[in-house]
Amino acid sequence: MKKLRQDANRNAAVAATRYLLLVAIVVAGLISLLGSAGAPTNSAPTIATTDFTFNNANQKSVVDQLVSRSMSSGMSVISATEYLVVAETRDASFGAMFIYGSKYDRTPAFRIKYNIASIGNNQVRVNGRAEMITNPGSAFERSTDVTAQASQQINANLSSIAATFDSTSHNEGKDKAVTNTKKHAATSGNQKPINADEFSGKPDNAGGVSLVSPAVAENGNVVPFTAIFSEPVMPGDKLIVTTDGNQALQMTTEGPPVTAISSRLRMQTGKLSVYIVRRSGRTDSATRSTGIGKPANPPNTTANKILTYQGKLVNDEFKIKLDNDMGLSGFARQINITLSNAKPIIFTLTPYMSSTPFIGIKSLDNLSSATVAVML
Amino acid sequence: MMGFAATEHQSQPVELCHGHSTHSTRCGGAWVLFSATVTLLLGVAIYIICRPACNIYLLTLLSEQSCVVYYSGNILTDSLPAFIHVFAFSLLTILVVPAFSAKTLFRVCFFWTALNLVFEAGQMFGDEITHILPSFFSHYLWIENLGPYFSRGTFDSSDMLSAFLGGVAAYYHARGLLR
Repeated sequence: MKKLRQDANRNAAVAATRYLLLVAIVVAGLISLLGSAGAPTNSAPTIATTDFTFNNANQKSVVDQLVSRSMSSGMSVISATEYLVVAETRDASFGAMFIYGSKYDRTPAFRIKYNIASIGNNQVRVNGRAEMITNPGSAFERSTDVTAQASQQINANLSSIAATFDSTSHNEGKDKAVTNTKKHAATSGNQKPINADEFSGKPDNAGGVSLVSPAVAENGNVVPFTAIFSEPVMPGDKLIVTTDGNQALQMTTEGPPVTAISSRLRMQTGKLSVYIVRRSGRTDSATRSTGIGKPANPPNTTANKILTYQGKLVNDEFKIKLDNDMGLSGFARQINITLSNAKPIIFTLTPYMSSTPFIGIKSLDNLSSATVAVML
Repeated sequence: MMGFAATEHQSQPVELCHGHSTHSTRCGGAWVLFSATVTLLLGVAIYIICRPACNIYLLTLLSEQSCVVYYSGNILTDSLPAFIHVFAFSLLTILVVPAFSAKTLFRVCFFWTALNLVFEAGQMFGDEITHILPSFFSHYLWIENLGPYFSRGTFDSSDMLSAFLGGVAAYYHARGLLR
């Protein structure tokens, strides 16, 4: 009798375990089905150009920029000459080790080579190539070209360098997502292209943000800037722009990855900082000083509350212009830019933005269907 | 689902191994588990090697991922995951259903096949589905990816075929081993 009861208990426990396992397997199946899809924020990678021509540039400054950017992205620069910059990092991911590892050295290296050539008329051409290296640093090195696969990374590096020159990219014809700096420049407040004289000096891009602003601004009430991110701002990340230590705008995105923003701010001392607090906890930042001719006036206390706005896509940049004084009362507090998938990019503004503020954004997603909502 | 036929009846749960004598020992359940595990590992390997890991929701949750694709893949590696998902989860499920029979096996394979087909077909109507999904979905882990699954995913008829074949293969594989 006792044995029978024990058996019954045992069978009940086994049956319960089976049901629990069944539920767990069904849940795991659903999770893996959903999890195998693209992340909500990322677009499928496309092949981007890795061949750029910088105008008004010299080889030395381009080499310096390439070295700086490579260091910022965590790579070791193993060679830097007038004609070639080589940066490398060990790739300990499972996929890399599986495909490119060897018995001799299980961890391959990911190597980017930038070939640099002066082509006259103050033009410098840079061609980037990426390779996976088996047995790196040994006499048995083998390289496999992965330029196509790493083209986005190379393109992002070269694009942010392009932002420092009056440049155009030399497109080999296969890329639809090339960053053309003139397009960025056209968004920078005064709607004029950035040129090397106006925006002299290197931008600060030590922490994954390439920040471009004028070396000198006569009017501190309207100081344009452009920030280009080596890694897009993703959901869970937070972008903060401060002027003279005061928050001017904050941006988060619930959907489209944002690769660059531009706007115009009020400045008194000319200190501009951009921070991106990543979901992982890492912070990317850049700070840049602008000489201010006439410091900004304080925001009006009796600002109008009239708010009209327009948003339109120009080339690959979505531009919003607000007709609002950004005074202490009645300023535009929030802008939502929403795509057809109902995932907005949200800007929170403060009166440290210039009056009649302007915001331009670039995204990996197509912004042609974007709609704008502005809240006072 | 022509290939599925409920012809056998065995009401006992599947045991990993049963029987005692050397000749009559049958480890069908263990083989089913082994097949499911191997195919699942193969699926994971395909995702790690042939897809940009930075773009895969599950992998991005686990750690920061590289966007480098180590092997561009082909139609086989593109559609094999759909086969593997149906095949492996059908096998795993049949191992734990309380009472095994050919009919149950058919239902299990049908469930996973249908689920995959519905999700794949949903990608044809990505924008429409995204619009009717409640907005609070975006606040929850996993569920937040439901909209992007449909809107960003690309419908592929070879994935549909692959999922269907996965169901058929799982049915006959399990039936052969667990008979």
